Amino acid sequence: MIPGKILAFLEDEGTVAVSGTRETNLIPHIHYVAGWEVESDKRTIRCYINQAYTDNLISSLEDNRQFCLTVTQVGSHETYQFKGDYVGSTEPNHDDLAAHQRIKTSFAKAVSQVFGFPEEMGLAYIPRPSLVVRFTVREIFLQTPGPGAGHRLFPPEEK
Amino acid sequence: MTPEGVKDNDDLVERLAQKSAEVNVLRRIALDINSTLDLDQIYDIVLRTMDKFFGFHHSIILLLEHVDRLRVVASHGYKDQALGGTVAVGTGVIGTVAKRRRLMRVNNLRSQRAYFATIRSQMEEAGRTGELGQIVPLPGLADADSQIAIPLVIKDRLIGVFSVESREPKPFSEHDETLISIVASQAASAIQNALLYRAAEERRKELAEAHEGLKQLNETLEDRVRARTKELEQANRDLRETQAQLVQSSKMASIGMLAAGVAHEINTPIGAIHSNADVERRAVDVIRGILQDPALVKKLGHQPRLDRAFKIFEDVNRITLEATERVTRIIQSLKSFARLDQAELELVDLHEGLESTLTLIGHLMKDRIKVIKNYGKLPKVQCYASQINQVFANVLANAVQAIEETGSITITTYQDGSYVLIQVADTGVGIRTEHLDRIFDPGFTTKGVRVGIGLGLSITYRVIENHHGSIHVQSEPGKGTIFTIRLPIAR
Amino acid sequence: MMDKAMLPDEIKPVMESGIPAIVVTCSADGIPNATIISRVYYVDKTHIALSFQFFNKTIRNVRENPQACVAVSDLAANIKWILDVQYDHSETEGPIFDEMDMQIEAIASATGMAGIFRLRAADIYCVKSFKKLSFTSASSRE
Repeated sequence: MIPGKILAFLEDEGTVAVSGTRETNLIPHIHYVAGWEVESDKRTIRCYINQAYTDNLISSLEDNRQFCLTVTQVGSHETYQFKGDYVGSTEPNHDDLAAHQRIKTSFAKAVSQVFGFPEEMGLAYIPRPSLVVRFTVREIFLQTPGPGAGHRLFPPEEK
Repeated sequence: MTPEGVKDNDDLVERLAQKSAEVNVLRRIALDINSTLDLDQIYDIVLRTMDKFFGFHHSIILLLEHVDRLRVVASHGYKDQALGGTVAVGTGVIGTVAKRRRLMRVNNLRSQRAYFATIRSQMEEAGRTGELGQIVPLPGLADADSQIAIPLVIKDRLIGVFSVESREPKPFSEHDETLISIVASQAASAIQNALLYRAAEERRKELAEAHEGLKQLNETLEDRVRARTKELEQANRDLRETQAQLVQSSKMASIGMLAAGVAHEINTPIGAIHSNADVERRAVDVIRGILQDPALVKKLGHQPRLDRAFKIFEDVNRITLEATERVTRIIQSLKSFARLDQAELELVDLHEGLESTLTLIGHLMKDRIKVIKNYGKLPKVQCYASQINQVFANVLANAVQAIEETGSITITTYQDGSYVLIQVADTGVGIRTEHLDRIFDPGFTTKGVRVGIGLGLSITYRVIENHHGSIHVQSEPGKGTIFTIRLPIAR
Repeated sequence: MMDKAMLPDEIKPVMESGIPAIVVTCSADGIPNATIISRVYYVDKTHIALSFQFFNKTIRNVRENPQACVAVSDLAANIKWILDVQYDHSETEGPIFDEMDMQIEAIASATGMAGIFRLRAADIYCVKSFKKLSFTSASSRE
């Protein structure tokens, strides 16, 4: 189960995310994410991906099921990486699109404040998703820059 | 030509026009900054032109002040112009450019600063504050997002840094970097020339001032040498006087001790001689009494040889007694003169001192010089008795030596208010007018080398001066000399 | 011999823009890793460089499996560039190393962090292929 503090981050604070997969021959791929939502089991995450970023996505996931999602907050650089196992994919539903919209708006505000770009640019940067990839979280890592970067938060590291 | 072709052509023409305009601006900058040696003008031309023609709204020029520090000498576009602000070499973008002497173009500074700030706060939360250094405030925009900093180098020597900043999200491009580099290179040469010129001007002024100073010094040098020579001559005189006093004091101390010893040694035998003579006189009187018995006179008859022997004895006894009394008086005068038992400031009878002195030099006068005393009623005077007696000895000895054959010395004393005056007048050869000013100088003498060494009167002068008195001399060759000593009754 | 793609000049300002970039790598045992980094350095038409400061998961992965995927964004133009790269070698001196080192030193020294960040090496990657994803025009691939 995803810890509460990190759940709260995913719900309210994360502003942008990116995901990764790998092919059979270990060649990795990037898939920009247009939003996310944690399912009620608090363990499965739904990732929203635009068509433009789906090259090698499903084939890789069906090959080895390995998926990683990195979510960050623009400005504070608070960042977590979630590694897990592919469950399945589906088309986005109404709630997914609402979550996508919320995250997109949050992102646009953040880049406007931090980078000075107009909010319209930020909104255009995150295109509407065409696919939802679902995966079960196996591990969570802290990726916030600093002395703790790289530490595994879930399951807790053995001391 | 297709519409796309036309558009391409238009783009090309526009780009060429823009390039041409840029070249013209760069050429203008080069001409303007190289036509002046005034640093402020150079800074102004560079910074204003960068803003007006290339849109660089915020720029700073810093010069290397020390090996580890740069100072802002000119700025453009800042509310607080940051003039005088400093940057340590090695700190921030500007400091790192100075340290490495390499151009730097940095974009997204805000995000990078935020990234480092996140790490910093993570470290603070982890209790690793000790590893963190101070955040140094630096001149420039606190919220700059892009910056280009270029080292100003002449012949491998860093003279400063030129920095341009922007808050805009649009980052600085390679083309911006090229433009700024060209201007910085020209500015470096112009600044170096102006600095050299300024240094040469300052040096020229320093040399001119030094030359003027030297000229004035030359003019006053002679005066200063003269003044210094006078000082040295006076110091020499003072030294000789002091030396003379020391010699004299030493002599006096020796003489005093000698006098005490002699007096003691002579006193006892003289006392014995006087006492014996007295006893002899009384014994002879007894013998005369016995010889006057009538029976003895009838038996012996008249004895004229006995009468003559008694007469001779009486005369010799009388002379013996007088002589011993005289010796006793001389010893007393000697002791009084030295006043060994009285080495402190005391109330002294000056007539006593005069008499002791006259007794001691009596042998110099013998029968050729008559001493006339006109002593007035004098109170006792507060002084050092031995020193005043020395004064009397010097003055009276001079008077005696001035009288070649026969003559007289008249000593007059009287009170004048809070002072007493002692005047010694002789009928000697007198002193020549040209010598009068120098007779109190140490070493000056009119006597031969074997007679005196010229210290007596200079010491006399110094002693009188120390007693807050004065001594005055009047003289005329062939007519004699009068020394007048004036002493306060109380110091 | 590996095919190398020739990067167009228009990607250079995107790399220098300062918008954070993405790197996805994969360990030898097949677990992908997605990291956000501050900057990708343009070396030449066929090479890019990433800074190696800490021995983190990305560095460990490319030492085991040199394949990587790098993405840079032009936010203003809404263009993303996705590069398939392969780790080639590390440099501890030279112009790229110096440029990286200088950038790190400049910001670290101004934020009181001088000495905490140390550039161990500049990791040089060959560009095998890339794609430009634009949401204002059709995407182009090479």
